[in-house]
This record gives sequence, structure tokens and C-alpha cells, in this order.
Amino acid sequence: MLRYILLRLALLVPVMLGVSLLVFVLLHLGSTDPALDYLRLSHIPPTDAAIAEVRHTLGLDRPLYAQYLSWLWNAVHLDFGISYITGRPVLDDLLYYLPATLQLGGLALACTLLLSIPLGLLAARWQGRWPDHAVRAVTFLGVSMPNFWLAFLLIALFSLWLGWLPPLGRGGAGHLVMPVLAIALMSMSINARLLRASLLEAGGQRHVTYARARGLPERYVWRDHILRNAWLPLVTATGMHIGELIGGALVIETIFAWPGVGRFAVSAVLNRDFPVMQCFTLLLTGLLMICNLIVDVCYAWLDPRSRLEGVNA
Amino acid sequence: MSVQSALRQPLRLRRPSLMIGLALVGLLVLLALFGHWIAPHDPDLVDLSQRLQAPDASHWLGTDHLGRDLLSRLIVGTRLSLGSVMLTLALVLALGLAVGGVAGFVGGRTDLLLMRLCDMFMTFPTLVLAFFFVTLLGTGLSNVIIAIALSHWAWYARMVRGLVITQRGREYVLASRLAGASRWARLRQHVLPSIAGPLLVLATMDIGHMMLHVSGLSFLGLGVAPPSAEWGVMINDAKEFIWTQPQLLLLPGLMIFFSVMAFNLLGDALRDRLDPTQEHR
Repeated sequence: MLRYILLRLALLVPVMLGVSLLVFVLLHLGSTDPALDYLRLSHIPPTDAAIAEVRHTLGLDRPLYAQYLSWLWNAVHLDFGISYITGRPVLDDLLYYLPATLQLGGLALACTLLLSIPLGLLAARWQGRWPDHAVRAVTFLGVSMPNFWLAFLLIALFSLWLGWLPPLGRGGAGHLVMPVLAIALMSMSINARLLRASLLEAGGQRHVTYARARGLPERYVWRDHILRNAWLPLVTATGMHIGELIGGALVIETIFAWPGVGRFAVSAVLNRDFPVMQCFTLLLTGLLMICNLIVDVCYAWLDPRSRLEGVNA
Repeated sequence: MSVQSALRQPLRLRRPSLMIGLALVGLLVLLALFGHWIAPHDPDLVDLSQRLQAPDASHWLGTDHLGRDLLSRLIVGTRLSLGSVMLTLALVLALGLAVGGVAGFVGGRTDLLLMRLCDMFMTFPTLVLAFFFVTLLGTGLSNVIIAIALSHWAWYARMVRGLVITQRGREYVLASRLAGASRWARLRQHVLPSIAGPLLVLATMDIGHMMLHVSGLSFLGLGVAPPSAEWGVMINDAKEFIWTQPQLLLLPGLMIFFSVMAFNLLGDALRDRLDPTQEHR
């Protein structure tokens, strides 16, 4: 098991290198000249001399591979450059905003798991009866609901009408309820549907029928024969939802005036602040990769068959 | 049951979700095509004397902060909202088919290389990658469409590759190879038609998801430029009026919600038809 984890950690390095190369090359293949964006954002008139000077200070006059290598060298030393807008180191700015986003994303993940598992179990246990219909209806609405619209609905209901929750900002637990719900509903619904399907499939296997024929109490049939096989797709799906949850947090933050990295990133996108977007993309991708690694380790722990496949792949 | 025979079955009313899904999607397509004729007012006509009117006989759903008729904007907005998703889907399918088809059919080193490229694209969180491409290309609807397509295609390439590989090994494809059919002919006449059905079903199930992404970026102000009517932008425009004129915000969202639901209904129903073992799951 330890060998598996170490191997997977080692594999992160080439993937991260590839991702950084992809990001770097795409940014520099773009149709615009970063030097022009830099001048525009610093309010310097773009004369030929100014462009040439900025190209030199930003290192844009060097060959691409040299730029990449020096950028990589700095990045390894946690220096991702200076934001064109704020003039501060990019990484400091992003790390200042990131914890608030992670708080939302992490809680949304917890909420996804805590709600989807009971709902999926409920629906599968009473398949075709009213709990099943109720869960299917709720989850069907959940997968069709735009998260940003849901956020406004929640504000209208809980802040405007009932006056229970604060509509904006970060503070106590009350501030967390609506954003977390808005982010989590989609993943929660998908997971609940998936768990239900997976439980029904596992429950239809012949060894389950045999277990029932042997007269095992229903409790043991579920615990030992159905649940153990039905968890696995849920683990995989959860890994795939983490990326969606991060994206959801970025959008939802802007609505609740949550001081996270989302609004910072949107303004960087609008202003074409390349160093910020480069670091932002790498940071969140790295984060997702680490989350996926954890998910894979959980999977390997739950399903010994996958350990060998993971190593050989 | 093969895809073709499943799709050729008579539409049974026993499964109402398929009929409802088809009807709703049909309605949306009609609105997208003929919305400009149906709309009671010019959707872009600014009339500041009529701003933020409550619903009345002339403006059935009231007007927005620039005095534009909300109902007309909702109807006309269908074209941009639906059209942008369809374009995104077409791009994603084209890229996915090209890359996945080549990877699956040629195999070997090409396959390995293309799949590593897919892996690379799939390591990014989708929205983060879309942000990144919008930074690169600039804001605007066409760029958002490209950005979303570029952040989704790898999943389709993967899927297409898997489908192609299973079909490639089937006896009838091998038989046509023995009969002397060229690689291209085998791909075009045997492999592609057999994967078209499953691919279309998967795409239908994904349209709703893609619609949420496109409208989400529009909502953030990265997509459609403000004067045009598009549901995501309309929600963004109405943000300040949630306290006073909530219908300005609720109704465009409702349109997105219903559209996504229509496509999800259709997609789920098509999947159940295709794979009867999944029925009633």
C-alpha cells in the first residue's frame, strides 16, 4: 500500500510538468502580446520604446524554451511572478484568497457525501415506493438546477422572505449554509442517483439472492453483500465531482460576496492578467490532482484488485 | 438490443418521460427558430420611461432596468442560449470524434500520445480550464463556446476511443477487412455508424450540463455582451434588483432550469431505451 502511494506521488511530478508546459505554451501562443496587456494595466502609453522595454523586463524577447525554463525555475522556488494589476507577487495574492474558497469547497464536498449516501440508501432500500420516488424527484430537479440561480433562490427564501440567514459576506456558520448548499446540490444529486443505481445493481447479483436463500437476516445481506460492492462507483464519482465543486465555489462566491479566489480570478480573466491566471490554473489543478490521488488511495484501500492495475497503468 | 433497433422501436407512451422530453425540447427549438416573430415587443428596445415596470397588459412580465420587455427577452433569448450550447456540442463532438476516432482506430503510439494529451486536459478542473481559455482568447460568446468546448472534448475523445476499440474488434469489421475494405472505408461504413447512437445519447445527457457551464460563464460576465438577450446575462443584469423586482432574476433562471430539465429527461429516456437492463434504475 505504501509503495502504491509513493509511486502515485512520484507520477504526479511528470504530469504537473506536462500541465505547466501546456499552460505556458498556450499562454504564449495566444494572439495577444502580454507586453501590451501589461502596459494597458499599468496605464503606460504603448509606444514602441515602452513595448520593447517591457518585453525585455518581462523576458518576452527571449526564446520560448528559455522563458519556460526560467519560469519553471522560479515556479519551483514558489515565485510565480508579479500581478499586472496589483503589482504584488501572484502567489501571495492567491494564497490570501484561497483558504476561503477551500472552506466552501471542502464543506460542499462533506455536504455532498453526508446527504447523498443516506438518500441513495433510502431510495434503493425502498425501491419503487414513496421514499424512492421522492429521492428521484429531488435529485432530478437537483441535476437540472443552475447553481447560481439556486443561490439567488436561497437568498430570496432565507434572507428576503424568512430573514433567517445573512445574504452576504463571510462570518459565522449562518453565512456558510446557503453557499454550501448551492454548490453541493448538483454533485449531491448525481451521487445519490449513482449510489441508488449501484446498490440496485449489486443487489441483483446472484450471490445476494443466494445469501437471502440461506436465510441470512436482511441486515447482513445489505451490510456484507450489497454495500461493500456498491461503494466503489461512489468513490470514483466523488473524485470526479471535486473539480465541479471547485468550479461551483468559484461561481457561487461572486454572488455571496464571499472573499475567495473566485472574484479575484474573474477580474484577472477580464483584465487578461496572465501571471495570475497561470498561477491560478496551476494551483487549482495541482489541488485537484492531490484530491484525486487521495480518492485513488481510498479506492485502492477499498478494492485490492485495483492496486495492481493502478501500478501497471 | 442494438442501438438502431432500439431507436427504431415505436415510441411507446408507457414511458412518458421520453414524450415529455421530446415535446419540451421541440418547444425550445421552435422558440429558438421563431422567437423573433412570437415576441410581443422588440427585445432590445430601450425605453427608460418604462423601466422596472410591474407586469401589466402591455408588458405581461414587466420590464427590466432599461425598460425592455422581459417576456420578449426571455423568448428571444432562447436562440442565443440554446444556439451557443448546440455550437459547443458540435465542436466537442467534432474534436472528440476526430481525436478519439484516430486514437482508437490507428492505435499504437498515436493512441498513446493522443490519450496522454487527453489525460493532460482532464487533470484541470473544467471551469478553471474554461477561465484559462477565456483569458487567452478574450471575453465574448464565441470565445466562451471555444473555451468550453476545449475544456470538455477530452472526455468525449476518451469515450469515442473506447467505443471505436470495441467495434473495431467485431467480426463484421474484421470480415470487411478480409474482403479488402480500406481502413477509411471500414471506419466510415462500419465503425462510425455503430457508435453514432450511443454517442448521441451520451451527448443528449450532457447538453444540460454544458448549458449550465455556458450560462454560468455568461452570468459571470465573460460570455455574451450585455445588450443581447441571453438568459445567463439577464440574471447577471438583474442581480441588483433581486430585492425589488425578483421576477427579472427568477424567470431567466427558470428558463435555464426548464431547458436543462428537458434535455435531461430526453437523455435519461433515450439511455433507458438503449439499455433495457438499466430500466427503472
